[in-house]
Amino acid sequence: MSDAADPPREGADRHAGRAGDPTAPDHPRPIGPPTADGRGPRDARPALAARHLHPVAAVLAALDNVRDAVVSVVVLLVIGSQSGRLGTMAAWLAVGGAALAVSVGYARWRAETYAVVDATIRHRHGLISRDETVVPLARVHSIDTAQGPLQRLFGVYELHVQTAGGGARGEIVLRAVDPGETARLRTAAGLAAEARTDDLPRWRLTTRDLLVVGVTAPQVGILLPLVGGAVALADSVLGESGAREALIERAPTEAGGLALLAAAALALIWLVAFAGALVAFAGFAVVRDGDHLRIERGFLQRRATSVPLARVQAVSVAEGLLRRPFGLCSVRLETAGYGREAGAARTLFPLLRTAELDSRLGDLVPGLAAATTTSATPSRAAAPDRAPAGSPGAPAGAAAPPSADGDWQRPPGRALRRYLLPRTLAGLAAGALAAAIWPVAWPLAPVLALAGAAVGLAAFRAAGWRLAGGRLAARHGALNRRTVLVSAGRLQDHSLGQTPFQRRARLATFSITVASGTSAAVAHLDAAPAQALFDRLRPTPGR
Amino acid sequence: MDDRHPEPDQRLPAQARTLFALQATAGAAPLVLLALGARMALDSAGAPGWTGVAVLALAALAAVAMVAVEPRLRWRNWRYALREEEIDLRRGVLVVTRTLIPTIRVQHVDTQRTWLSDRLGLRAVVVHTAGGSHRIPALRPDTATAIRDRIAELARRPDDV
Repeated sequence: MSDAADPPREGADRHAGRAGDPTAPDHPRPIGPPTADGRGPRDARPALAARHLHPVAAVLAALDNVRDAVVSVVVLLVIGSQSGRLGTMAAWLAVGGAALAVSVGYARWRAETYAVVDATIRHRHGLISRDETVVPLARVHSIDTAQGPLQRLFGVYELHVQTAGGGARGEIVLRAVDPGETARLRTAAGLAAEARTDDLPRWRLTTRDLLVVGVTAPQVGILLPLVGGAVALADSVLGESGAREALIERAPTEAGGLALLAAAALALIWLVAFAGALVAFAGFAVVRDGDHLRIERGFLQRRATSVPLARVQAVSVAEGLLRRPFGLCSVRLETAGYGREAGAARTLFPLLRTAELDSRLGDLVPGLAAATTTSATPSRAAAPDRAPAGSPGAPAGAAAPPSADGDWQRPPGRALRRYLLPRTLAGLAAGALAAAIWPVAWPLAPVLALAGAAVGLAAFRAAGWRLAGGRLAARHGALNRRTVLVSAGRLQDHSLGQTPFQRRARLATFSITVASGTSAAVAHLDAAPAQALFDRLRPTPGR
Repeated sequence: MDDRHPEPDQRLPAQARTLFALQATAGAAPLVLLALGARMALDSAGAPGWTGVAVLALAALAAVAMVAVEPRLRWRNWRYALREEEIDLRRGVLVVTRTLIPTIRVQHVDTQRTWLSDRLGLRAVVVHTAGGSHRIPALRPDTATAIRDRIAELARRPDDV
């Protein structure tokens, strides 16, 4: 244990874990070019000598131990209660457990160091398996911060060393580093200090909008019609009970209970979604600082994330069921590294008026917005003459004629039944199944069939694409309408598919994939324009 | 098709049919076994004799379609082309899908071999992009190696992912 406790010294240290290389006692040579300040990759002088985290890290580790031990302590107490000496046992467990947690926490803190050496960031940690993670500075694109309640109490930050490959969690996580050390690590890593000027393009979520985010959280939008349907069914059953009381004598109480249960479930869902939105997005602010977006958010845990604009491959605009009627949407970043992250980590705008979308994008992701103009005019100046991409004001007519750049291309009218039929039949089948199990539920069949048709109609009205100035917008979805905006030159792939039915009707389904792995498919387009789009998106030599 | 919009023209080797058929057999065999079991169950339950036979016949028909027809059609429809700027794939039996992958987007390329594909002298080439992966399921080893190396060479141009 004393070995682990010694801060490792350059050149005389031992490697363990995944970065260890038994054949090379020296630090492995990092891959990649020298860093911006001219330090060569073989410069052995440590830019930042190995150091421990802030002592709060020991407290955090001890608390982790306590949390991990809770289950076994409860089990022991249950066993202890059989023997009738519960009090003594609880006291011993508390004292012994606390001592153990504190000493292990302290040992873990002693074993954990980080350093900047040889154009790499090195992180050593672990008591039993002593791991070392080595990340070349050339691969580090930012050092993000997060602050939980305890960290905030002591004024320290949790640091996440972010690389292109990693997710929001970071390749290296340092759980407690004070602000001075944070600045020193950033400097040693060759990352510019954060600008604190006020003239940077920025966007902030107002408190009022935060409440709207909570009220219209997407989970609510999805579950609301389900719960509503259940309540409506219960009501209709309730209404009929008089006419058929012999058959469903007990139905009123069952149905009343069902309605109550549904209402309770709805309230609970709403409350959870509301609380989740508040915790995730309180104090949400995004700033464009040079070639990075800096996003700050969170209530209990404050996070500051930095995303290089070069990695923003696309954005997707979601207009949820509860937001679209009010002209509201939310916008998510589609980046290569964050593809598998939870929604909150990828959010650019938790709530935005759809009409403002283009000017806000022009401020913060100019690369994507500039692509909408054919000329090289600054995106800001050109913003007003573009129709909002995810705008509900897109032509609602069935078949827009194939025309010049910039118009929404929508499925032709003859595609409508292909949107309606499968969903209507699915609703009918589900209703029939329910009626077969519980005959009283027969009204469900027409209700669900109608609901299916409504969803199909919504999907038909949403579907479409637009190619303007090298930016492709592809829109799909029904209740939750989603528009993917991407520079045409940055597609990962694009496809055109046809079922035998579509072939006969000269229709085709067009789909794209962007770097986050997100894909968008626009179904039942007129085959000829779809083929023309497919061909226009082919990479041209020299792009 | 005009020169500006070339269609994929390379086909998979004939052995690919065998590979697809053998792979389909793995799926069809449980189906037939299940049908045999169902027939025995029907018989012992005292159902009319023809129901068991019908179940078995249906399963046999499905198995023939899976093993004899589908692999042949799949092989017949598969086309690919490798051009400097793009990888062009077209495949599908009922749903025919054409996909273009810009070579500049390729992150890495694998060739894959299994015990079965080795016996048939086949390799698969898998092309990975930041958005997902695409697979050419059966190629002769020398073609596969050549395609893999060529894609890797084309993908070396700088990208901004």
